[in-house]
Amino acid sequence: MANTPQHDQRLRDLLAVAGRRQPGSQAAFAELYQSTSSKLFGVALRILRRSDWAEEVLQECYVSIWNHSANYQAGLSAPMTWMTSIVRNRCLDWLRRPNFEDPTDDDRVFDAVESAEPGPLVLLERSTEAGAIARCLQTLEEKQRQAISVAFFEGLTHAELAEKLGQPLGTVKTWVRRGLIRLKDCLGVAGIAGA
Amino acid sequence: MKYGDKPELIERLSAEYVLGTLNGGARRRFAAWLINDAALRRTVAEWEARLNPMAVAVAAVPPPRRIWDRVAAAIAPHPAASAMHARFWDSLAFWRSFGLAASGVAAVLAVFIGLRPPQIVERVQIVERPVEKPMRVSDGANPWQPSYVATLKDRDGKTMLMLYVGRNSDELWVKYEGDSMPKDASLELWGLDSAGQPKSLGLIKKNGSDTMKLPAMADASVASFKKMAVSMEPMGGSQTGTPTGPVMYQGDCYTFW
Repeated sequence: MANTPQHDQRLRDLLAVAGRRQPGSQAAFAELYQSTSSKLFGVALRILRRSDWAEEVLQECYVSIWNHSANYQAGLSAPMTWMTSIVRNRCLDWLRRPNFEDPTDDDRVFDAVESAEPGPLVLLERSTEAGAIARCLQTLEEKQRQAISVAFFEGLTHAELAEKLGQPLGTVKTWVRRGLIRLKDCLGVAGIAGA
Repeated sequence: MKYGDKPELIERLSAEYVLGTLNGGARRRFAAWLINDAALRRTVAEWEARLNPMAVAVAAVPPPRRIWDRVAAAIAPHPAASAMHARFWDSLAFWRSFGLAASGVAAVLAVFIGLRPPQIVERVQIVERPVEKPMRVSDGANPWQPSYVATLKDRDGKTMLMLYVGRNSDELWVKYEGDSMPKDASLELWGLDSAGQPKSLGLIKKNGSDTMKLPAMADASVASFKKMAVSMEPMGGSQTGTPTGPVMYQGDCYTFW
């Protein structure tokens, strides 16, 4: 998926047409799906670690995107940011629901697959598309950067993050909090326009 | 909890809500605050704009096509049509159930013969199973080239694509009625044989009338098609030889002579 201004504008247009519920709205939405679903499925898969869950969430999210396409405000967030937020929120709600069964066994399968490819933080650092956020992550201390990126990409709670990094909970919370403050200082609110 | 007078706490919780590190209970409590607090929603949106572009670094994974089928079913205006659509490629029964209405055939014929005298149209008999029992001109005179015709409709039953080719020609005439062409995707035309096996005929290149070169003369290519369909594919078309994206339009293929 190219994250160019042209692509961005195309997604805005497609959302606008979909939101009008006119002839052509479904075709516009189909194109929106075609050009964004692989990325969003990747996001959901990485957080949920189970393809059946990721499928269910992705399906719900696209129906939700369709239902809310008329409410999408182009001035407030870039279309891909808006859709990513819907998917990430749904994934996180899914993992944080009460009485949730921990997918520990599935983790191992997934971890084995993941180890063969470069992690997203590496890809993010190489990426020319992530722009400001990739640049600002570089200004963080290594442990802050690692804590924030692992939490973001894998959808971990503070406690899960502490366990994964083998550090006390309070320490990890501090890394995350300070890292986020530094990111905000670096990005400001300009992140909205450039997202 | 009174949180309105604690801006630093609000900022931190908003950031951690977006990052995803709040545990279940904290996440749900924060989400409950969001419902009635526009300022808080704005703070969250700012954090989403800051952090969520990181997702660009996640490797894309094409989702199985059944997801689109389910989404399409959920957003379709006509529930009955969408239920059929969900099984689109999987079910031959679906193909059979989607026979073109006689009135639809007549309407298409009117388009194809264009300026011909109307009395000729009236002499056309509509036959329900056109491939096996092709339409014939009743008086024995044959005003038209022997040909294959298909009209492809969207889920709402609106005719979006008309196709015509002479039997001894490899030049397929295409008229696409879409409002515009997709910019980040391609529309790919498929012919389907009686087993439902798709064969690519190439990409729809523009709105309005156009021609496409068939891989062989129509009698050796289009002759085997029972149906034709258009799917939305990645730029340049499907790389797999079969449709990978959502099916946009489809319809029966008819033989005339």
